[in-house]
This record gives sequence, C-alpha cells and structure tokens, in this order.
Amino acid sequence: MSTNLVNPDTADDQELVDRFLSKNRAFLGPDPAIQRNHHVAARSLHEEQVLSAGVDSNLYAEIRSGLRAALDETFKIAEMTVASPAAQCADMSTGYFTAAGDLSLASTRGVAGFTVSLHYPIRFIRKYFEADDTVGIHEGDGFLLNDAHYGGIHSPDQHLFMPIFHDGEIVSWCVCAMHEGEIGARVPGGMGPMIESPWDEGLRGSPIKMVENYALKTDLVTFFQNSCREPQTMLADLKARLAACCRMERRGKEHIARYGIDSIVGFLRSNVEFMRDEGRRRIAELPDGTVRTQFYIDDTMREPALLKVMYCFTVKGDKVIVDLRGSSPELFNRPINSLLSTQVLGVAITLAHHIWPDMPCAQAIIDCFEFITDPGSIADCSDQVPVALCIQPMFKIMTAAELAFAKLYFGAPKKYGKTKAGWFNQPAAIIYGGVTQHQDSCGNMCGDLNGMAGGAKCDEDGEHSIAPCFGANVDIGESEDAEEKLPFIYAISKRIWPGNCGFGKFRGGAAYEYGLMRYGEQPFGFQTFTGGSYFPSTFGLYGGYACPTYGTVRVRGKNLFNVLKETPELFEASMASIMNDRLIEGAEYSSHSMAVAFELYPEGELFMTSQGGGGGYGDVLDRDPEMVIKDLEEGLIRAETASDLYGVVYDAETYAIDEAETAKRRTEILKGRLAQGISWDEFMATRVNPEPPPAVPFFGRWNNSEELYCGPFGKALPSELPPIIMPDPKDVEIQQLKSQLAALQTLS
Amino acid sequence: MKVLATEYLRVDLQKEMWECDRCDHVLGSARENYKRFLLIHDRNPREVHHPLLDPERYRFCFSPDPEVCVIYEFYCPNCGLMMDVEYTVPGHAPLHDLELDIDSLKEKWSGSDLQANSATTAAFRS
Repeated sequence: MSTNLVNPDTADDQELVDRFLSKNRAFLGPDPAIQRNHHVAARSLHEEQVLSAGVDSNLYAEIRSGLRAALDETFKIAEMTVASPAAQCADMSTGYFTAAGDLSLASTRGVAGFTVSLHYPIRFIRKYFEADDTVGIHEGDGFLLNDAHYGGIHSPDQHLFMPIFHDGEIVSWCVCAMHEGEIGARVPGGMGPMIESPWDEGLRGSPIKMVENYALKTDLVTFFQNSCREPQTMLADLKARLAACCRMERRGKEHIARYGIDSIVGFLRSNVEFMRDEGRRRIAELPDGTVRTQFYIDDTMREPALLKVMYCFTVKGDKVIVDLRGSSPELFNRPINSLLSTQVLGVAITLAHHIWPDMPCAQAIIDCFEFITDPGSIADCSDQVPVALCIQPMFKIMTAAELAFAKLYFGAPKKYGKTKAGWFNQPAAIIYGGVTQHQDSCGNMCGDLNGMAGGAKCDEDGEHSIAPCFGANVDIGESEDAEEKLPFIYAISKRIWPGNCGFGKFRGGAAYEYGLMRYGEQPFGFQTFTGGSYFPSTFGLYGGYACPTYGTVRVRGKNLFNVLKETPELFEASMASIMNDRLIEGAEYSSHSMAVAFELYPEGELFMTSQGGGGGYGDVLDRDPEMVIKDLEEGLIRAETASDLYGVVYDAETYAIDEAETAKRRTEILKGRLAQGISWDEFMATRVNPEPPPAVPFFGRWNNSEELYCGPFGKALPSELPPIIMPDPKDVEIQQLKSQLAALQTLS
Repeated sequence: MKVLATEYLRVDLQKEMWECDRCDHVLGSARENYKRFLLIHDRNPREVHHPLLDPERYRFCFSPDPEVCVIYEFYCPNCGLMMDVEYTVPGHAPLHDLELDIDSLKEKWSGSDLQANSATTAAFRS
C-alpha cells in the first residue's frame, strides 16, 4: 500500500499558510538558510545545458583574460575617483558573479575578500526581491549593501551590485566593493570601542536599490549623506562604484556579443567549479590530520580580558572540518563579535593569499570545508550583538588557518607555497573624526592600517610593513596627502623601532611607529580599536617567537608646535625617546592599550602608536650571526637580543663577530635549556592549573573544560550561556572611587 | 622512510617514531603528542620581548604582560634544539597542536617516486 497519501484538507491548509507567510513577512531579516551556507550553488538549467555539451578551455581562457582586464580597468576607474582614504589605498575590489551569486572572477588588485563574501546578498536579493513588485530586479538597477548580517564583513564596507541581463534574463552580477569608512555610527569611521549595540553601528544597509536606470536615486543618496559625517565622500564613492558597475556591465555585454551568451554563462560557472574542484583536490592530497591553534583577544575594546578563540582544523580525505568550539561567548555590548560568515571568509582569504597563492580568491575554493561552532560565541554570534570590530576574531582565524595549513603542508609530498610564520593580524590604525581645516566634517581611518609586516618564511626573513594580512596588493597612503586633507601632521612617520618583529632563525618583518600631532583649533580627535596590548596577537612557527605587544601613547597638555619652534632640540621623532626621556616640561605623558575610545585633541597634542611585526620562524640559535648583526645595525633588534637571545658575541664598536665565542655562547645556551627544561609529567603536575588566573577576566574553554568561562559571570555549558553584558568601565571606576572614599571617611 | 613533519621534527614511518632532525634522537611514538617527549620551560615573555618604554612608568610598555602571558619553550631532550614555542596564559596546559594520521601519512608517501625523492628530507622544506 502507498504511504504517500495526504489528507487534502491538511494540504490545502499548508498551502494557504505558506502563501500567506510568503506575502506577509513582518521583517525580511537575515536568512540563516543563506547566511550559514558558503557552498557553491547547484548548476542552473542553462549552465547544465552549456557545460554538459563540453568545455572549450582555450575559449574560456580567452574570456577569462578579457573579463579580468575589464575588472582591472573598472578597479582603476573606482580607485582614481573614490574619496574614502581606505579605498584610495586600494581597500576595494571588483568582481563578476554567476547569476546565482557565486564569485567567478575578481580584480587582480585590492582586497578580493570584499567580493568573496557577497554571494549572500545576491542570493538574498534574488530570493526576496526578484518577485516583489515593489522592488524587482531590472536592467540598470544597483543594490547597495553594508550590513554584515546580509553579507560582507562589517558596516564601514559598502558594496554596489548590478545585474547583467541578456534577453530579459539575469545572466551575471557585477560588484564594486570597498571600505567606505564613515557610515553614521556612534563613532567616526564606523568602527570603535564605544559601539555597544548593533544600533550604534550607523546605517545598516540590508540590500537597498540605490540605482535605477543606471542612475543613483537622489532621495536615497540624500538620506545616506544626511546620515553620516562625510556627505561628500558618500556621494563621490557611490558615483565611483556606480561608474565601475556600469563599465563592468558594458564590458560583460560586449563579451556576450562577442562570444555568445552560452560561452559567457559556461565560463562563469566553469570557473567557479574549477575553483571548487581544485580546492577539494588539493585538500585530498594532504595527509589526514588535525592542527589546533588558540589565540587570545586581550581586550573587549573597553576593558582588559582574555577572550579565547580556538580553531581546530581537521583534514579527512577531501574534506576539512573547522571546529571553533571552545571560543569565548559573545559579548552583548562590545563590538568584537563575529558572524560565522565572517569566519568562513577569513579562511577563504587565507587559503588564497597565504597557502595557495596561485589560486583565485573566492569562496568556492573552500567549498569542501565545514564549520562547527558554539552558536552564541564570538566566532558565531547572534544577530543581537554588535559586530563592527568583527575583524578581531576574523583576523585570528586568518592566522589560525595560515599556521594550520603551514603545519599540514610541511609533511605533505606537495606544496603550493613557502612555509611561513604568521602575518601580523591586527588593525593598528588610528581612526580620526571631527572638522577638517577645510571646514568639512569627517570620520575615517588612516591608511596605516595596511602597514602590517609579513611573517618569516622557511628560507628568508619576513618583509617590513608590506601589506595587510587580508590583501597583498594594497597601499598605506601618503603622509603628505593626509596632512593636506586633515588637521594633523605625522610628527613621527614610519620609523622602525628595535624589537618590533618575531625573532627566529628567520625573523618576521618589522613594522613602524607613527605619531599624529594635532594641527589647528577645530574640534578633532582620535581613537583606536586594536588588540595585542597585553598578549601578543601574532605567533611564529617552529620555535620562532611572536610579535611583541603594542600600545597607544600620548603627550598632552602642551602645544608641541611651540616646543618645536622654540626648543626643537627637545623633540626627537621617536616614541621611546619622547616617552622615556620626557624632556618637555609641563607635558603629560601616558600610555594606554591599543583600544582607546574617541577623544578630542587640542592643537599640539601628540597621539602615537605602532604597526605590528610578523612572527619568527625556527630556533633563534639557528640564525646566521651575520644576519643578527645586520638586524642590529638596521635598528631592528636591541643589543641584549643579539647577545642574550641569539647568542652572538661581537665587538660593540665595530660589530665584528667573534665566531669562536659565539659558538661557545650558543653551546652554553643549549646546555642551559637542557638544565632548565622539565619533563611533560613534571610540567603538567607543577605548572598547569585547574582554573584560569584571576588577574584578568577569562572567557572561553580552559584546558578541556566542557563549560565556557564567562568572565565575571561565572561559567556555563555552551548551550546555556548567560547574556554577557559588561558594565561601563567608568561606572566600575566610579564605584571603586566611592568605595575608597567611604573607607577613608570611615577612617576619619 | 623518514619524513619531516616540522622544521625540526621527523617521523620514521616504518618504526612510527618521532625523531629530532638535528641530533637523530628518537623521541617517542608518532601516534602520541610529540610534546610529551620534549623538555618544557615556562619563560617570562619579558626576557624575550624587552620593553620599549620604561615599565616602571608605563603599564603599556610594548612588551607582553607576564600576569596574562607566558612562553612555553619546547626543547629536544638530547641536544636542546628549540622545536616549538607556545604563547599561552599562565597555568594553561600545552596545546596538542599537531596530530598527524600516521597511516594516512604513510599512504601519501607510498609512491615509489616520492620514496626516491625523500632520501634528503630537507629538500621538502620549501
């Protein structure tokens, strides 16, 4: 007997309910079915028809070259016309997608990561707007997106999508994506420690149709301009993105006219499938195994904390399981939470940039990856918590993937790139806001964010402040250009300081310090949002040390321009000299973490910080003594590091190496290691504790605990986490002062 | 056949043992955590990362805070080679960072061409 019988009355009810719900959604919020699926879509009927008939590789290579040229052309158009300082430093990307939204081809330059995570909004637009009469998708439309809950990374990034039609059908999408910065958030530049809820993040653009008939809609543009601190930048960059999309659409149609629609549809899909299949093939080449990494984000951005992020990569056959369980619970009122889609993006970027540098950057290359999480953690947060600084956990998974695959590939028969240590992984940029010398309001970031140093490689040192971990082909901008536009000068500009790299057989790249001195009397200030002030952010590999920690330092209460004018000998453009010598009488010197809330700075006050170094590779005692001395001469390391850590004996005046004494000292260091090292069993018995140290609130798994620590809120199983609402640090301080006052009053 | 698993750690695939690639010391079973066979030293991070700013004056001196950060250094028990360092929170257990499936490793290296090429394992470092 058949068991597929359905009561028609019930079926009618269901149909009625489905129809009602499809027409009466109270809110088209982020769709988990879209947002939690990074895999390549199934072939469309058209794609299946084309590809099942066979692929002409030479023809597709020709199309690829043509479309790539179009992407690079449109990238340049946008780069030369944007106003956002980040986009001017190439923090942007252009790309062609399949009709279903899979990224097929991205521009050579810039940050391909922007386009990598944009299949989510395209699928959302197609699923919810295509058949909606009030929206629809038409030729000449453009949709803007900046809310990470619908795709992308975080709200300061803004992306414009345009469909490409042929004979009334959508056959592709083109995108111009970039870091815009200012978006009307609680703090300038859309990012900052004081963002405490999703509604502090400024305009939250779910996909919005901003363009019709190839023209920006004036009412919406005005609304966006009216809602942010940089209306001119907003308009200029919308126009730049639109110009890029219009050119991409034109070039796409020219290719269709030249090669035929089947060839273009077939190429776009075939490129995606190649990336998907090649990624899977490369994983299958690897020996099975597991690599575990753990990092600590050491600041909630408002207070010190140890927020653990755990990443366990397991290769099994042609699949990779990325297990993020054990990571810190999400923080309800701090901006460092990350959506799962952001973590997925971090892995794709890393594979393309650091592990398989010959592969295109697209989500398809990690189609064979699956992710396991504790929902409600900072690695897979809910929609109710802010994510403006999701780059904190995102950059961590990037280094985790970098190190994990370095280790997995080391023992593999075939590799696709050099083994190397961690690239610096923090956004060490100063964010500014206020009124410029041109009387414009502003809020954005310095291009110095991109000045991260590279990790040491298995056969050479890392590069100094070369590029950010998320994009190889971007710039840090010109100091003079920033000074012309903004009311500060680079009082210290790109100065290397000793010790700012991971030591090892090969050292990580070094990074520079810089200091901004306020100029002019208009209201203007700074903030930062970086971790790694207490605990190093970026690790080395195989005995190589990590980068150091960093801070922000200030000289306030004095107009240093007057000092420079009257007693210039008192000012040396060096953070260490300024802060340690303290030659300027009457000035206030202070140091802070790398996460400081926005404050106004009067003219002549100085705000300083540093970019970060790359991780080291291998045992320091394996480093060629000549290279150690070169580091010393170039100011990359201190004398104590050369002698005590690297074990090099040299003449302090001539830097001539005493080879015999160096060999002797290194032997002594080796013997010292054998004397001070203890066995595993002794170590576990005497050094390992059942609880985390009380000095700083701890969040996440401690050793193998099933429960997650929740800082001041105790601990709980991952499925029973309490809402972690951190008190305002100022309230905490006031309470402490009140207690002290009460104690003093009692004494008196 | 012997294959490098890290810059300094080697696997003897027949004997299924970890070995030091510097001194050839046999460490222990390759099916166990290699760190169990090494000497461990917990090091104050300020010995490695000297403060840039005067730590007496400034809490944030561009050097890790020993209250929340410690460096575990792992040495070959025979020659003292530093095979790994791990930055962690004081009191935390060392991380089992690398767990290779030895059977799978054998399978991947089972091709005759690969075996011929593996005589000098250092050739596979880059």
